Amino acid sequence: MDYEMQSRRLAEIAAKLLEDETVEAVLGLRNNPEAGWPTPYCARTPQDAERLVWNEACYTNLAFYLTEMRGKTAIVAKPCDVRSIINLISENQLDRDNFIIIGIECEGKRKDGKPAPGCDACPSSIPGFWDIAIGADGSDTWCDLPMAQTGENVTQWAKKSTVEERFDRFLKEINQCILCYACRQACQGCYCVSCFMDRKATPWEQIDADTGSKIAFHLTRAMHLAGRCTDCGACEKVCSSGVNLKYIYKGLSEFVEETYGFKAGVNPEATPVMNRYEADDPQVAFLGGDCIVGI
Amino acid sequence: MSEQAEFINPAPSDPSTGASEEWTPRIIAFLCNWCSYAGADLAGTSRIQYPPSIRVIRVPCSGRVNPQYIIKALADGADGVMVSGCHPGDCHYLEGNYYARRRFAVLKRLLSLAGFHPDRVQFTWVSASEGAKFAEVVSTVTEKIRVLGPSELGGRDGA
Repeated sequence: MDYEMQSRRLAEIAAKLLEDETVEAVLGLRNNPEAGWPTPYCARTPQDAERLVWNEACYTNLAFYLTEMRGKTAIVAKPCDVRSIINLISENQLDRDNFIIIGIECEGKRKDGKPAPGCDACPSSIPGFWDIAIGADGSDTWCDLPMAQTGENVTQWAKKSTVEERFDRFLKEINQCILCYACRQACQGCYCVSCFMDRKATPWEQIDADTGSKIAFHLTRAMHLAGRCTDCGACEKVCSSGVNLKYIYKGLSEFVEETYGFKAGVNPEATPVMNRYEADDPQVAFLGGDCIVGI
Repeated sequence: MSEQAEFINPAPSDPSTGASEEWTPRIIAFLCNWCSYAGADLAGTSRIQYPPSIRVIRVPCSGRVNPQYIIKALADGADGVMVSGCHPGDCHYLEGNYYARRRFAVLKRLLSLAGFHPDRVQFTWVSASEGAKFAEVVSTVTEKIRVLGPSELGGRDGA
């Protein structure tokens, strides 16, 4: 990886796009000494483009910010951002004509000296689609770097473990949670204007930080993310308590792929898996059906 | 025991265990208005006995059952949840149960990943004419959950 060359080329491209008025804004990251890591930044003039950075700490998923942009925008997108963008397009949250993707090659980010969460399972260093390419060496061709892909296979783990082990692992993670909802805020899939946890009008959903509320929150969130999680790891990156529930989302993605042949963040034209059905869907969860679901 | 009392708290099927105070699970049953609720009704009017373990919540369609309801029931300490709707192809709203089928498959995998025993959540199709099947389903589900014992989470009300 040549971050310096990539940054330089990124600044050139951003400045040119803004100068030509092809776009009104370039969505990227800038250094933020107060936060200690690069934070989202919207460059609106060619001079602003100088401030865009690209380094090994740029792990923020920018796809969600794109939904809030008005006017034509260019977004600096690494492979996980593009997967998220594809997911948002397939759910009609983004208009493809309204933005330009500056695809940027990424071999995985680092957080606190360690590989960032989510990056260990990343399938490719090249974004799924793009309009302008910035390769690993700063040129406009992809280098297709080898990826570590050391992420665990959750289904295999679940098949080997007992119910008690799975419950213990889940409770261990849940117990650290303080219900701050940072995972929800960072998630590309959690774009509901009013989240089920914020609805004060439904008194049956009590919100105190007890185990029941935490289970209700995290399991419902996982259910909402079924077949929509793009495995970007944003939830884990932002968690202040170190809760790691990405394995649940990943396990569901594996299940959806195995059972319904659907993978989130691959095809922007595809109907999301939970929004459709086949008359001959397997009766996997049903009394007397083939219980492959129960593990 | 009067006939009425026996109906509410039936003697165990196997008298050798002798435990009439045997633990009965508390199961939340979401029944679709058009098929399973009518099926339960038929079981009742046909005087078919089944365990008094279910607490029925009538919903318009199995597709109306938000997975959150099931999660919430379990998180609040229900011993089990049962959802029953029309057979695929028979939905009053044409396709509600097809959507539900996918949703429940994913939900069941989710719950088992999180360490809830997969048997705690049961999905089934019962039509309005299947009173005997409804009774049989409730017996099967109750037995499966009885084997598992009370919920690990306990009731919020301490019961």
